[in-house]
Amino acid sequence: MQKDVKKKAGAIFVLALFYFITGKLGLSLAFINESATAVWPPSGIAIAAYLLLGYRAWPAIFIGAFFTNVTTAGTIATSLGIAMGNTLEGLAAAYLVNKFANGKNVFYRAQDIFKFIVFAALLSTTISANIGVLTLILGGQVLWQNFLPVWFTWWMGDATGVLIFTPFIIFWRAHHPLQLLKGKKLEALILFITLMLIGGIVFGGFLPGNHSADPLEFLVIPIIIWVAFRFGRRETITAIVALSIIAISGTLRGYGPFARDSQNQSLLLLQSFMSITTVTALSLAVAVSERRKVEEALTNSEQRFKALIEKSSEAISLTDADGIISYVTPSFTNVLGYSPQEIIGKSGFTIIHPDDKDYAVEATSSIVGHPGKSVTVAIRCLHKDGSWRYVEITSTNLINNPSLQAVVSNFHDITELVKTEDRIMSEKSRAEALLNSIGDGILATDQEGKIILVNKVVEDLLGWKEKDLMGKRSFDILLIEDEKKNVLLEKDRPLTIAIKTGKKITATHYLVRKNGTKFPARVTATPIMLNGKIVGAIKVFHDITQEREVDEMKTEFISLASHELRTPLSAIKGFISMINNGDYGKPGEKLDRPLKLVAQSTERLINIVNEMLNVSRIEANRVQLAMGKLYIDEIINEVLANLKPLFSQKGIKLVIEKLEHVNINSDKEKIIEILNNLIGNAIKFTDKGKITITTKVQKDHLIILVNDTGSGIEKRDQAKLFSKFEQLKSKRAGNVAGTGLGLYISREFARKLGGDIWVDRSELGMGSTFALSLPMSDPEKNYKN
Amino acid sequence: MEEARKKKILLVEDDKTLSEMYQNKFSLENFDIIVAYSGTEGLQMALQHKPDLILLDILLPGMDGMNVMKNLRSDPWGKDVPIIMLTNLNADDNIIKGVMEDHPAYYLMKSNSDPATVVEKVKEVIK
Repeated sequence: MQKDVKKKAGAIFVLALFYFITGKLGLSLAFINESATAVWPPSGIAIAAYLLLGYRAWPAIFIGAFFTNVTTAGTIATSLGIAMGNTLEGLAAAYLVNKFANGKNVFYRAQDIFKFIVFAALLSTTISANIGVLTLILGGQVLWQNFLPVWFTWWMGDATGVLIFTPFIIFWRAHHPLQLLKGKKLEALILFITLMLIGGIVFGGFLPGNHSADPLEFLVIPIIIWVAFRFGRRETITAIVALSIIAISGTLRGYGPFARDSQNQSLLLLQSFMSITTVTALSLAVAVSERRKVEEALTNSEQRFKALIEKSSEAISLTDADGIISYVTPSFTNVLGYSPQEIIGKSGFTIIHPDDKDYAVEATSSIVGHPGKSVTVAIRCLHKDGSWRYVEITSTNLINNPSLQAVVSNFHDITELVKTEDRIMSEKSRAEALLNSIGDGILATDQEGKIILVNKVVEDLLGWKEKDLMGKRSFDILLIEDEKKNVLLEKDRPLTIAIKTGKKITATHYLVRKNGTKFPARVTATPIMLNGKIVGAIKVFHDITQEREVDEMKTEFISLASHELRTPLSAIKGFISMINNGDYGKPGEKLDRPLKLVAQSTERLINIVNEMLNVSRIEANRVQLAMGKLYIDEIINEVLANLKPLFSQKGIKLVIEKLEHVNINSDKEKIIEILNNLIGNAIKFTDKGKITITTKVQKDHLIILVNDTGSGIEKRDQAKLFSKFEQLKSKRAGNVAGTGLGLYISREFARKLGGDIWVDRSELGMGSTFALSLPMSDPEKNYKN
Repeated sequence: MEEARKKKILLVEDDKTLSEMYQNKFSLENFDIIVAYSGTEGLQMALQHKPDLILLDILLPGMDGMNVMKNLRSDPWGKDVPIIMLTNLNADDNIIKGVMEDHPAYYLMKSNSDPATVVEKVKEVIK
């Protein structure tokens, strides 16, 4: 803040000092009165200061003017009055110029310069002259009868000062880069010498003899015109200032056309001349610079246009109705390689690809005879380098247009475009080919379920055409049934689930074709993610009819093979039992052990066959239930009775804790098979201790628990127990034989009966408890799976 | 008298080995056993010899066991003759299930029953 104030005060001081010095210089030329001079540069300085710095510069002017006068001839009172006049004069001029003549940019346009002459030089200067002269009269320094000559001198001095020094300061202060005399240094030097010479001749008495009556002042005119035309406005006004100095000093010494007896009269005449010269020169310089600007703009636009035409990737040609080229733009080289000289006079058809010629001829004839009509073709043209370029040509029949009288054609190279299009097309068709060569049906939807992509396989499998499906909601048009042939609700459809959960889902469904027939399909739906958002889902499916058939055949085969195996097995088993029975005489003791092993192996083989048959039946969903009323305790006792030999064989104790006498509706054979398996396993995996059987009723289920003191099962293995062919070899099996199908079959049977099997409790080394639950009501009601 | 009390059993079984086994066992057990190797033959022999009991296999060349039984059950003599289905088909196979419901008979699974068990069952039925 303080810095600003200091800076301002400094500026005011400098300006005031400048004003003071030029003022003192002016007053040194005051002849008619000590305070009235015909040479008064400060008036111009004041206006320039107001225009450049603003009205706030007034204190500097006031101070400068006051001290100029008070140190010359004035009293404090007259000096205050004059200073006021000088200050107001400048303010008024600046105000008018700001308001009407473009402010500090007043010297750029001719009309502004004229306003400046009127407002600043002629009108506002009267303020200073009036106040100044009246002050002097009131101060007694000027007599009333001398008012007019003093006033005129005052006014003339101010006006000339304004005319010369305001523009001088403004041009030099304008932030033009100092490109002064760029490339014209020699000319500037010659100009300077000539100026000095002419100045000397006209005003300095260089010529021998008295030429005061000769109108030598006209010699100034060519100099002014020279500088105005060849240099700029700033140089012009500078030349005038230089000339003024020469002229004033010469005239004061009695030389030149304006030298009179009275110094004041000489200066007034000179100042009049200088004023008019300044006005003329300034107007001329501004006009010249304006014109130069217009010329420059024109040149620029012409060059731009030329550059556009030459560098353009488009070309224009003019041809007659027969296709003979009369003109091409230079850019024709850019498009097809030929220079205008090479192609003008030839027929445009000569460079068109033979295969496209007919097409081009046809297009041309479609506009010939139809003035104003246009046609656009895309054809191959021969480039000068021998390559074929795709060119889009738009031809307009302007034969009737007097300034053209030709067919105007625009050439635009579209080779890259065509190539890109080709590439996109081939990429697209490759992607399509890929999609179609995947044997699976592929169908994608957006997140609203609208179909956005299908491949050919979908068409083949479902009988719908792509166009019938695209954009439609999959749910509205494609029917899906579950394995039991129930139509799926929208929320249960794979695509819906994939979109809703963001998870991949795989299922087997029946897909319904357009004609209503259906086929089993393996369906996988995957969400389509984009930037972490689900934007749709894609469904991949394939017809598994054949797989199903193969599966059925396999099941059939196993079933048949097993049946066929059973017959010879029955024979083996039967004969061995007869041998053991002594039906063929007592076998030697040596045969006891081998016969026992053969019997065991046979039994195992029969078991395997039975289990395989069961599995194939389960897989084929052909398990049949023979339901009937039965008492569970009776069945358990029957099973235990059959297993009794095994208990005694291994020396394991059997504990029957509690057997409910409950009547249930179930399949006796299945329950026997399950219990055989559960208790059989318990015996298998228990080497010593006991097996405890107990039953309990829990809600509507009867639960049978089989507890052993055997090896037990690790937690992580328990889930695996019920899988097909799973045998926990490491921990449990030892030498124990089995297919690993037993628990799988048992669980399937139990579930089929409406119950279940699970590991109730088991710890490694601490034995296991297996549980079988059976519904006490009608199992069909509870049937799941 | 011992001879006169000998019960006559008809075995219809296409497998030569199995039929030999059953013949051995039933002879040992003092039965008069006759054998047929196909369904058609079995039906003829049954009507001709009128055995006390028929052991009937199901999967047979020509007429299967089910049809043999149907034919027998429509015969005045045959409708009451005890029949034991002796087969390797499971009791829950459709083919058996249907027949068992309409035409009461006994059922034994060959692979689960050794000859002694079969004899026991036969004795139980015709005692």
